[in-house]
Amino acid sequence: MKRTVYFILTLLFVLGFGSTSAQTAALIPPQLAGIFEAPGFITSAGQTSDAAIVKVLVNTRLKLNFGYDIAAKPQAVSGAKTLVLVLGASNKGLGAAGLSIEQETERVKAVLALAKSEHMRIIAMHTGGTARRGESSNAIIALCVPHADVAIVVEGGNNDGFFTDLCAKEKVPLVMVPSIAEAGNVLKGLMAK
Amino acid sequence: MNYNKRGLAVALAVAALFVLCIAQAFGQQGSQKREQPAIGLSIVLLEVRPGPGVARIFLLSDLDSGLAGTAFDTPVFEFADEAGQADGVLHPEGANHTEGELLQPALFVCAGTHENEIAGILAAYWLIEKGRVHGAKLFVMPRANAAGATWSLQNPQSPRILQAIPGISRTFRYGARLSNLAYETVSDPPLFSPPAAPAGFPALAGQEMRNLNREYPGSTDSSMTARLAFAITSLLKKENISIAIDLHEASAGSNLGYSIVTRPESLDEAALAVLDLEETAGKSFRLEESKPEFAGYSHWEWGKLGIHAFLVETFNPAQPSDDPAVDQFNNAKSPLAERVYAHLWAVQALMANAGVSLGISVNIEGLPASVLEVEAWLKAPLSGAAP
Ligand SMILES: [Zn+2]
Repeated sequence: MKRTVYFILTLLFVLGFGSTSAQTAALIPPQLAGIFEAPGFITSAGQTSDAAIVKVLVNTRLKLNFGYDIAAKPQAVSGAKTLVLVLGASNKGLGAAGLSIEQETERVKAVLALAKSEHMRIIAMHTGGTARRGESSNAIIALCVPHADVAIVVEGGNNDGFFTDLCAKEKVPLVMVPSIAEAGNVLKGLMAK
Repeated sequence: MNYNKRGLAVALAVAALFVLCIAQAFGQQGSQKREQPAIGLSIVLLEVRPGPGVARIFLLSDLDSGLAGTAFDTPVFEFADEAGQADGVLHPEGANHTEGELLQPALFVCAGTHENEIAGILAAYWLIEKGRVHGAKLFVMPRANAAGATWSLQNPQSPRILQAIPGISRTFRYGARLSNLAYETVSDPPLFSPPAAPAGFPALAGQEMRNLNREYPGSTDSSMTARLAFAITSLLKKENISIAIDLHEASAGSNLGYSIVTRPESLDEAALAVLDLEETAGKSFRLEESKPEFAGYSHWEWGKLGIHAFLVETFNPAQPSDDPAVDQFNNAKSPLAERVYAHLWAVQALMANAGVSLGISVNIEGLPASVLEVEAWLKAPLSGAAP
């Protein structure tokens, strides 16, 4: 029995889950594995500095070479095939970018409109835990998630079931992960090899 | 020098310094308030036992004689690079060095900027007792504002003394956020503007003049707190510090607990450290990018010297009132051992990732393997903690 399990695991590994651990693979909705294409682009939705963490995770650690601009205008995103939106409103981040929450909301809407027009796939990511779940954050999350092909949420950010309810209502697959590192692994597993 | 010989040399040096500061304390009784005994040194030497990593102890007044004999003088612990002569790093600028000059890399850990933020101070003590560094020299200053360790919000004459198990464990002071007014040479202005503040920066409350973390880069012609900042800046320049970390704690209300704050140019290094800390400390630190409104803050001003500089914050449940009713050791939400542990691994993660940017491989050894190990260390008597 044990041998059979090992054989199947080895087979899965050889068949293309090569760089994805079994643990990560189990988190990824099968219909989404490997369907997101390069080039990818990362921006924030709400100017959370979590976007800077996702950037180093994706580019420095996982070497996926995505474009990045925390406050990207639509034209900067144009040409990408996968858009990663890092969700969370940060007053400090908005201040640093010289944006009001209203201006930021307009920017995000414009980026979403461009992504739709260019048929990009969208990954919504929330890695900031309860700290990035205030009123402004919730509004920006509710704006983005309905447009996403998948939402990846680090546990803690969904303690109140906000993402569970929103994703169920909008029929967006929700992937809950225990850590930011695992969110990166899931993202990698979503990307076409 | 092997560890035993070095340990003996350090022990002798410590003994000599201790005798010196006691002698100074007695010799200067009744003199002007600017000529206080070397309070910082006696506080620190009563609270920590230097371990085998420490190669030298000196006073900040070695960098600026204006601090000598004041309550603002404080000891600095120098660790030699255990890897021997490491490759140099290019120094971007600095009064003592020419641009592009290749120098031995050096690191700086600062704690006790705010003397009520005790987890950072204890993390520095852990390093002094158990730490060793590979790939660079290391300077550790455990009680940066010793004049803040001479009082508390509850008592302008004395700090609180904390001890995990009464009569048994090591003791240490719980001081205050600001310098003690009694040792300042300038009274608080009605309003205070950090000297490095940008135009239009709103002035702070006058007492913030005694906040070391608003006074950088410091000066020699205003308050003693400003002079202290000046001496620390001089140390960073003289020793060619490449990476510097200031250890703090924050209250629940400030929303800064468990965060790393840094200038835009060091943001990626801090972001990588946050990822490391998920694994090594089991903690999710938040990342904050600092901006010109951080004028006078250590990391903001040190960064202007080309130093990769970081502010690390854990969560102290007693702040901001320094509520004595909060049990620091057994607090359910944020026990002290957990905070000390997080600080130590944050130092490791930041040094390692900033080191990569600088092209040097930095590793600090002797860090705790678990929070329980820190808890046991806090509960043990001081003598038992000596290596
Ligand atoms: Zn502080």
